[in-house]
Amino acid sequence: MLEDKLLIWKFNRGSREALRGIYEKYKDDLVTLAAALLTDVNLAEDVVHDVFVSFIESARKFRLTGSLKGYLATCVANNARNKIKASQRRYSATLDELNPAAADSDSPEHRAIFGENLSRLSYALEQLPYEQREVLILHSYSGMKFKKIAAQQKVSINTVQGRYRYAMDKLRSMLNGDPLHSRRFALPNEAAGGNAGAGVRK
Amino acid sequence: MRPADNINQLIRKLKLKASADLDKRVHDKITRAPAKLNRKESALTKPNIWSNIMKNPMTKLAAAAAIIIAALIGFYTIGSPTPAFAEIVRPFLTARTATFKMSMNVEGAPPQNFDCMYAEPIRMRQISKEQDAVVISDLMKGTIVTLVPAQKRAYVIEMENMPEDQDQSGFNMFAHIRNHILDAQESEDASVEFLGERKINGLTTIGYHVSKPGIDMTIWADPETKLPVQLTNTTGPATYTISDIVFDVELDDALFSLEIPDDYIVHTRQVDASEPTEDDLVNLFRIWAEHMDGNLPSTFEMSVITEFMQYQRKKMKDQGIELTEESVLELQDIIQEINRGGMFVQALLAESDWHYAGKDVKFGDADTAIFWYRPQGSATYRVIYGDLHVADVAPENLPN
Repeated sequence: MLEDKLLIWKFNRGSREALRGIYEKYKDDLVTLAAALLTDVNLAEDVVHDVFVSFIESARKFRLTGSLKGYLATCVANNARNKIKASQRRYSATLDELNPAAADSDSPEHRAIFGENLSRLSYALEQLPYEQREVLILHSYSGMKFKKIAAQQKVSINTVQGRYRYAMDKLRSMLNGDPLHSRRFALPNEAAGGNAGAGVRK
Repeated sequence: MRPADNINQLIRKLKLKASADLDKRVHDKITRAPAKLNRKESALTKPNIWSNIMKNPMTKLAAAAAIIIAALIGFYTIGSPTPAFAEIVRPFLTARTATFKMSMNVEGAPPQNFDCMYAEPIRMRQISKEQDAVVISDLMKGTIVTLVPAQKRAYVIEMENMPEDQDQSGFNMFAHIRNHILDAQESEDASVEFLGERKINGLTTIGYHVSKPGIDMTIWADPETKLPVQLTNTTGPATYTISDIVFDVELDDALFSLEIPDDYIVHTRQVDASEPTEDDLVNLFRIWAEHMDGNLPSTFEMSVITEFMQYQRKKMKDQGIELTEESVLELQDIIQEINRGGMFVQALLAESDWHYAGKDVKFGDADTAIFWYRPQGSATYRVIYGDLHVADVAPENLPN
């Protein structure tokens, strides 16, 4: 926390070294977050790139009110959501149905985004409606409070908690092999994974 | 383990590395933004005492008056401008290492003096003159080692569950000061007041007082070198004064080593450093009642800890129990648990409207509220009763 405050202080005073320090410190977490939200590593890296470009432009006027990690995670989530909405407009799909990589979601490469060991989870995450996936990832991966997610998604805290519960139920069913939820999940060649942990770039 | 815990654990295992391509793209952007970033570099040296003072509307009139009076009595000498606050505190923010002397005065306790060495990121070596002990802390590793050479003993504290974004500077005075300065510079409700001149050990210095809720700090500096000479920081009942400050000294990493000599007896304790919760507060009341014969704290001030310790010592004496090293360590563990409850209250915002009403309430009284507060954004209050059950209560139903 203090290290971040100092980095921001230096960044606001023109230190490129501080800016590089911030990027190096959080880049992997942010790429992971974006990839979990978008289920696409290339799109995820574009999001992180765009977030840092905006961040560079905010120099001098940037004020850190909470944690820097939380701020950057929020930027990534907002940017990812915008990407999803843009895709939605392009494909005239509903937000809940939309999956940017739906066309090849059964491909082994896609399921190997997070490596073979986590391919079941990765695939199950893909099956969640975007809003539910966003709540789950922001809460469970980034440690964001429901209240903050609610403000970000502009919905009530009850709605956010409901989305979290639904997401958990679905994931649990899929990961435990519930036939209703796991039918589609069971079909792809689970063992075909490959590129464990490396992240697949299309 | 709850079923959700398994999924959450799995999600936390997700890990990707940014590609070399992304690294290149972002670093290129950073490199290609020199003009914009360079412009800001001037802000490092730009005096900002005026803006600091004027941030707080309460100080506007006072500042104007002070400057008029200063001009009248020739306080500012034309041609010799007073160094700005930002210039004076800058070494605290930019130094990679520092050495200084620190004296600590706590109400009701003898003063303590330390020779200190600081190294980034959050390392400290303190030599206690009174207790012949060396305290080495590395807060990135969450470890504090106290060496007592005369007894060949080492006391190790390992902080567990520390949240990534938690401010750990409370354990490191240099980092603590750095944190205060950053807060004062960035915060809207902080004010920096120019104090004028004062002689310290024959040297004419100029001073600034920094204040903000939770910050009460005075810095005296040499107007020629613009380097800090003395700094006083008050936190609750404790006042720390640091002096003989030297920045960016060559310090051997071995000075901050957490390794303990082989011939030392080691006592290791784990301390829960996670964010305190309401449960910790309830636990405070339970522990208090158990160790204070069914009574609850008389007040919610820091001084009750001394009261607690004195009571325990008296109880042990009355029972003919000797104060051994083990019993002291046990008491320290209890104090730490109590502290977590205190930290929960300390972290409550002013708008939480917290109240303590447990004085003279007997432990177990289910009808009497002893503590209440309003969680952020909540319409109702959380009320803790004498039997330690907790309920949500509408504001109109709170005790008078």
